[in-house]
Amino acid sequence: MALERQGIPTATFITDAFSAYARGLARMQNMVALPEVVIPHPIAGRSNDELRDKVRRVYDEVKAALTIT
Amino acid sequence: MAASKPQARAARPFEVDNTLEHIFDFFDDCYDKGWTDGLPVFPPTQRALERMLACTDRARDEVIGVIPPLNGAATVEKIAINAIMAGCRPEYLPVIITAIEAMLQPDYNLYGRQTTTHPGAHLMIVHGPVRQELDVNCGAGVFGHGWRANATLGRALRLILINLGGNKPGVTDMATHGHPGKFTYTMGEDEENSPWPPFHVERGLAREVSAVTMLCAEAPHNINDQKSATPQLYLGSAASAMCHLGANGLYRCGLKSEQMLVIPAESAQWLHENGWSKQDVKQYLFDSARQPVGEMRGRGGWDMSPLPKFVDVNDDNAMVPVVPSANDILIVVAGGFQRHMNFIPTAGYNLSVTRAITRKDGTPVRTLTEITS
Repeated sequence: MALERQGIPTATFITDAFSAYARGLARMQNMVALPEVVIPHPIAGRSNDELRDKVRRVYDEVKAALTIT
Repeated sequence: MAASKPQARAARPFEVDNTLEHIFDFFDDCYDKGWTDGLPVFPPTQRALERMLACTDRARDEVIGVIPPLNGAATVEKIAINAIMAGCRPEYLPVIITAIEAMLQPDYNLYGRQTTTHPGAHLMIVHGPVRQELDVNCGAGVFGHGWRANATLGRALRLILINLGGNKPGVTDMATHGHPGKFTYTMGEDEENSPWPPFHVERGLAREVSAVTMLCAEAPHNINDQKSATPQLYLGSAASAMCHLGANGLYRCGLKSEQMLVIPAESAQWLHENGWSKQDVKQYLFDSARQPVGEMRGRGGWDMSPLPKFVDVNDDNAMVPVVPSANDILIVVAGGFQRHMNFIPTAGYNLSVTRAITRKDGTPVRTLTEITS
């Protein structure tokens, strides 16, 4: 949110367990349009292969978040 | 984060008529609206509010700060309303205002503390003559029940965080477990029975000044050592608890970081008789509460933040401390008899803040009556 306020494009990764929370915080900070990329929970202790797979599935969303004008 | 300061809206105190049934209705209503910590709350009537506001020299609409993450404006009046709901006596108000000011200092990182998965509650340590004035427990059962000041000062802070900061478990407060100190977490230092200078004196305040320290911390973890014949053995027991492999300190000691140990006066006097200053205790804990890199690698909070430069992370035998320096070990003397200690762990990326209780013009006070006299 601090970076977006400085005009730096961001894509905020969040697991689905924290999605409502992230949206709520963004709303409280008057940043409802904050680009959020949701991946399935959990991530802690998971294999690199599993994490890579989770991120590959949202590649287009990350690209869109960082290039949207 | 640059949050815009919202306009303070005038609070509307409740009017409750004089029947018990309405008191029950009041609590049910507050609970349903999400305005409580789950326990019954007192009605903040106009009369109670005026009585409490008479205990500060500040204007009722003065904004003490903005409470994250909801960014509600903490006016003196709204702080007072929550304090009344928590069961505080009117004269507690300046202590609560000071605590809120401390929590809003950048080093405290209240936004992070309010929203993290770590089980941090807001420990209030009360210093100076105000401890006697408000009867704050510093002795037996210091973290337990039985004292109105300890029970309600911390509770007032929690209600302020809920009602002005939007703190709600599982919604904005993502603590995986939390801990019971989230209801209240308030102590005083046993300054009279300590052989060492009080905590607030270490922080540059005069001994006779009343002050508050806020530290966001995990639950107290007891260390029971009745047998150790030397300070080294005794403090070694504490050190072993302070550096367990799930403790945040080990992994966060490259950041601004503190960990605290509470020692009863009986132990502090024994250490003092053995020639140990408070600084000696800090240095010993800093040197001995350590784990080797090889034990830490790949677990806990490994590789999530940089370790201090003096630790070679490629050397499995390099020893990692729990704080950046000996002075980041906080020592507070409190508790009853016998040589129990309590480790007060922190997340390791937030600092405690000590603040004198003052008049509106910034003059520190010894007693709260000086504020309005």
